[in-house]
Amino acid sequence: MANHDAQGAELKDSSGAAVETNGLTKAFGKRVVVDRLSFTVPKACVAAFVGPNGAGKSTTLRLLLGLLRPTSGTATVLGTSIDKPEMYLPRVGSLIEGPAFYPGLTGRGNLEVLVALGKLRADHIDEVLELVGLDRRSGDRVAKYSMGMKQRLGLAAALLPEPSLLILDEPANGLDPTGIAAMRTLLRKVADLGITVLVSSHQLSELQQIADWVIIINQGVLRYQGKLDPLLQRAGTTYISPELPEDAGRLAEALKTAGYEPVVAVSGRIQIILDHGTASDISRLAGELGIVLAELHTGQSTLEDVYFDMTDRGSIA
Amino acid sequence: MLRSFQSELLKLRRPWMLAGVLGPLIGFAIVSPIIQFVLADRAGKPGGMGLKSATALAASNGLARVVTDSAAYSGVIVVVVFATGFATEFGWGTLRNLLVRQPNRASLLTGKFLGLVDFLFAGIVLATIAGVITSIVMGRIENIPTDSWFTSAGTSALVSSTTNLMLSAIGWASLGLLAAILFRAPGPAVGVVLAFFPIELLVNGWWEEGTRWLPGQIFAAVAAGGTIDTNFDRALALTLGYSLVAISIATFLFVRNDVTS
Repeated sequence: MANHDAQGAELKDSSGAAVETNGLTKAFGKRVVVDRLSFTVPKACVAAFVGPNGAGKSTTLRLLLGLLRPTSGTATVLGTSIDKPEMYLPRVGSLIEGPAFYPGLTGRGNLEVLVALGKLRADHIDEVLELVGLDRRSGDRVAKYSMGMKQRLGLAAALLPEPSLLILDEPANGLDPTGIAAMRTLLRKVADLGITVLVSSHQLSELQQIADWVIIINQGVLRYQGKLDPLLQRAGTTYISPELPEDAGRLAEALKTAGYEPVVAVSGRIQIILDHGTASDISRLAGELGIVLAELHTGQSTLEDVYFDMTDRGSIA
Repeated sequence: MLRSFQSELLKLRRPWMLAGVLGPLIGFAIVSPIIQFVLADRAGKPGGMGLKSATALAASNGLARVVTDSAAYSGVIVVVVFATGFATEFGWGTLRNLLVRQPNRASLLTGKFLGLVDFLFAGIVLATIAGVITSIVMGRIENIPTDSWFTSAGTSALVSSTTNLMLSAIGWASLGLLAAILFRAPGPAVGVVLAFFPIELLVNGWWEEGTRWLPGQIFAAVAAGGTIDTNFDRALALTLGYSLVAISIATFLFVRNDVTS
């Protein structure tokens, strides 16, 4: 992970860490859900926290919120150890594993409960309700809310304490395309105001549009952390088609020998993740074998490509 | 703790909470005097067990005794309300929202407990008022004199019996809280507290000393102002002791355990 950490050094050093974990581990009985996880979330950025279902994302977020206690390892949130959640939670807003509210109370009533409990500004309720577009329905009982409305109310609750850090677990669940776009805009907006956003989501294309930083975990283990842009550039996918399809096997073998991991399609088209070297290296290799290339095209990967690569085939680090 | 208490009171505005707690309490407080007054002539006859005669009802403590009768049901209501009230916080996931805003778990639990106890006390007072009004009306309908109820001895007995009901409720509330924290889901928590009643009756039938030690018997003795087996002071001391133990175990588990819901 050293290379990846170096890539993100500029972002980290310029603003400090909002979240830092060191060997964080959580086991439920013999089942290790979070395994020696060490990552950093720089301040004032949108950090995407991604991984398959059961990867340990929600457990990690719960550890950061003091809802679970680590089996071993340490972590700090806003510079304070997670052993003392009462020191930093007043500056943290969160939405974990879906919105949870009292169905018999109105949307506003639910926020009033949290305001009373957290000794927050009561006049901030109107602001956050308007921000998430629930101001006109705030007098309705939550039992009458759609999933998307509950999700927006959850976001309003997270914004209530005027946080320095927002920890959001699947905030776009249940939102329609308009709601997802609005959520994306909102998260970018709050990050631009200097609020750090740590967001887990399976909406990878949405995350790619707003994230500055990405943390990928699988089976509780860190696969990648660092800036998103270099990751996508570095892990571009290259498509190669020899002029003669029967040359595909020979070229694939040569690529394998050169340290690539080629995937040959039935059509003879070869796809590789270009994590080292350049297209010209591949062109030269084909020339040495006397193979004429009909196609040599390198395109930038998406976060989804990287995600599948790291979670299906292991880390590219 | 004060903040937890205040937020709990805000939460209790929920319509189902008002209907679910106050409804049964007030309902029993109304039904019990009706039964007592209508069936007063059967007191002391076969099938009239637990009924009071017209003479007993007309005594200065008659009103207080009618009101205390509804306490037999209030124990069930209180223990179910507390088991449900706390366990649903786990089930709905609302607990994690609360803990993020109030990470001091002992403080959160204490505030919530006191908030619900406060709400319950208000319910008992309202139920007593409903019981008093019903009794007066039924006294007139059944031509049973009620003048002595409003003497100083009568009002003192009424205040005393209402206070005893509240003290008894603390015991039931503590058991409900413990069940909720142990089982973390309303279904099992309520199931266990409801099973507690017949199980205790069975144990009481088998164990001679049961009426002197079993929690339900002791809480009932407090509500009744003392019984032949257990005087009021002893019953109160045991009730407070049982409550302290139950609340301490619940707090220990709540502070120590992970919140995974």
